Amino acid sequence: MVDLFSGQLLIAALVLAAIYGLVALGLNLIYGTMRLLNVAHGEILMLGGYLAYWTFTLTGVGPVWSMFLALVLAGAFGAIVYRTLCRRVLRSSRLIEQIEANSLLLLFGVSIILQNVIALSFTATARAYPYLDDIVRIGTFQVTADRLVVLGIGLALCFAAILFFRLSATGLQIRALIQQPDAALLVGVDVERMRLISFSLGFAIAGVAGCLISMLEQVSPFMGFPFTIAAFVVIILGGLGNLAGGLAGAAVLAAIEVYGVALTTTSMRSILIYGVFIAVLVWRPQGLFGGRSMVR
Amino acid sequence: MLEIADLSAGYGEAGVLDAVSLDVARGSITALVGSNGAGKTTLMRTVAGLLPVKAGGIVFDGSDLTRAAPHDRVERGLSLVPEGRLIFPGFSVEENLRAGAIAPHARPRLAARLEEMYALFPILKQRRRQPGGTLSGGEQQMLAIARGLMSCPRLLLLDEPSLGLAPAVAQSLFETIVRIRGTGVTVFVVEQDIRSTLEIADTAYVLENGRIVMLGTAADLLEDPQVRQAYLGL
Ligand SMILES: Nc1ncnc2c1ncn2[C@@H]1O[C@H](COP(=O)(O)OP(=O)(O)O)[C@@H](O)[C@H]1O
Ligand SMILES: [Mg+2]
Repeated sequence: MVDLFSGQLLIAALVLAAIYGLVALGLNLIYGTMRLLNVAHGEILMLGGYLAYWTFTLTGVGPVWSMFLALVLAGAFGAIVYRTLCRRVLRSSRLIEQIEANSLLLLFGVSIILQNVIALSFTATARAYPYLDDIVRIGTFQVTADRLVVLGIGLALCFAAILFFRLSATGLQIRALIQQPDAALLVGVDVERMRLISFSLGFAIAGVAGCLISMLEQVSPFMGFPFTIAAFVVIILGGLGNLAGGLAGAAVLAAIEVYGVALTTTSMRSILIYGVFIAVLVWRPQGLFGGRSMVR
Repeated sequence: MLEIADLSAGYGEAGVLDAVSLDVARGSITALVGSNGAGKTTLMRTVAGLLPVKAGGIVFDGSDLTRAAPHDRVERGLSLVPEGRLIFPGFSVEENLRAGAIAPHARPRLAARLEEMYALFPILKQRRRQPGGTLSGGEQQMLAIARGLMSCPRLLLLDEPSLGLAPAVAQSLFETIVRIRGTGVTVFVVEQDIRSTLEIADTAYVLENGRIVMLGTAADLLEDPQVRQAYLGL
């Protein structure tokens, strides 16, 4: 019988919650401000993972530093994808009518292309690198240092994001745009600018999350898709467009996954995630928190 | 102050406004009245930049706004309080007001402006921490107007501010509009309550089927037999 109160499980759940929180945040931002379903989100994470892997393998510089490079590069890539593809879709009166479905197809294409470009360039082999895997003892339990680092950085980024959206003028404008797009235009939100920022920020955070994940898991061209799915479950749990709810949703899904697998077997992982997905869609499509579909 | 010339606009292919021309004089309360579906909301949304212009032009304070982005219009001093209020339901009252001052020129004046709004609508100060969505209809309308004023506009557009309000609340709303004009803000108002509106307005236009069919001083329109019969039920 597993010890459900073990520190290892708690850390595993918190690490996963922080990562899901970050990945889902970007997805939620892009959906909330533009109604675009970014199914290529996991691939941005995958690119971040490869960046960390190659930076470490070629130069010995660790992911804690390449993270900043990932932030800038993924952010720039987000700006390019927005400017070249998404803005066109948003401006076409024919495509905008079914923006969710159209964006899904478009970004699905982007996702497949990215997977295959990486598979062609670096083969489909999964890769890992040794980094900070010394064991740290905290009280009665042991944990590898990389997990603690991922946990610390992940939680710090989640809180930084919450503070940014609560306190900054840009955060207020983005939340206004998510909640009531017409009213946002009327109070003077520069919608085009906020969309660009949201897209770029969403990609940047996914790139950083990829660096963090590469410390714990192998990177491979196809590692992204499960995270895309998990992120969709998280934002449906938290309420579409509800940024703070998304972080809570990440904690809920991570707990279900980590403790569910601990109580059963690893092969239950996908069943649990999709099970939660379907259960929430059927019984609480507005999310776990509150009756309003979009809170903050 | 606002000059609209031969303006045509609508939704997609369908035209609603057909060569509408009107002027709003600086310092005035100008009213636009007309029956349901006449195109009043379409006109307001086009002036605010939410709908594209098909033909004609919009000039505000000497600058051409015909193709300007909505946020540029706010930055130049134009603000629309839309039909149906469109407050941010999940934001607190104070956050709604802060969002109203997001335009660059309004941000430095945020704190002072907030106090002015709380003085104009004391109930909003009591409710400042409450989510906007939990306010009553009348309070939401005050919030929408206050939010519209937060950007320090020189021209305030109001689209059916009395819609859905109890008669007593509506009456105090008309007094508020007069007070807002008293602070130097020009007001262009669309209303269903035609009598109360004509009583506070200087100039009025009547819109029917997307065309201006009548215009004059509000006092003249109040006396006009056609207006009295068609809109005042006399
Ligand atoms: N979103 C829309 N899409 C298409 N047609 C619309 C839309 N909104 C209003 N209309 C049409 O435009 C015309 C004018 O509507 P509107 O400007 O709302 O009138 P008013 O505000 O004077 O009651 C009506 O015939 C209405 O059916
Ligand atoms: Mg209307």
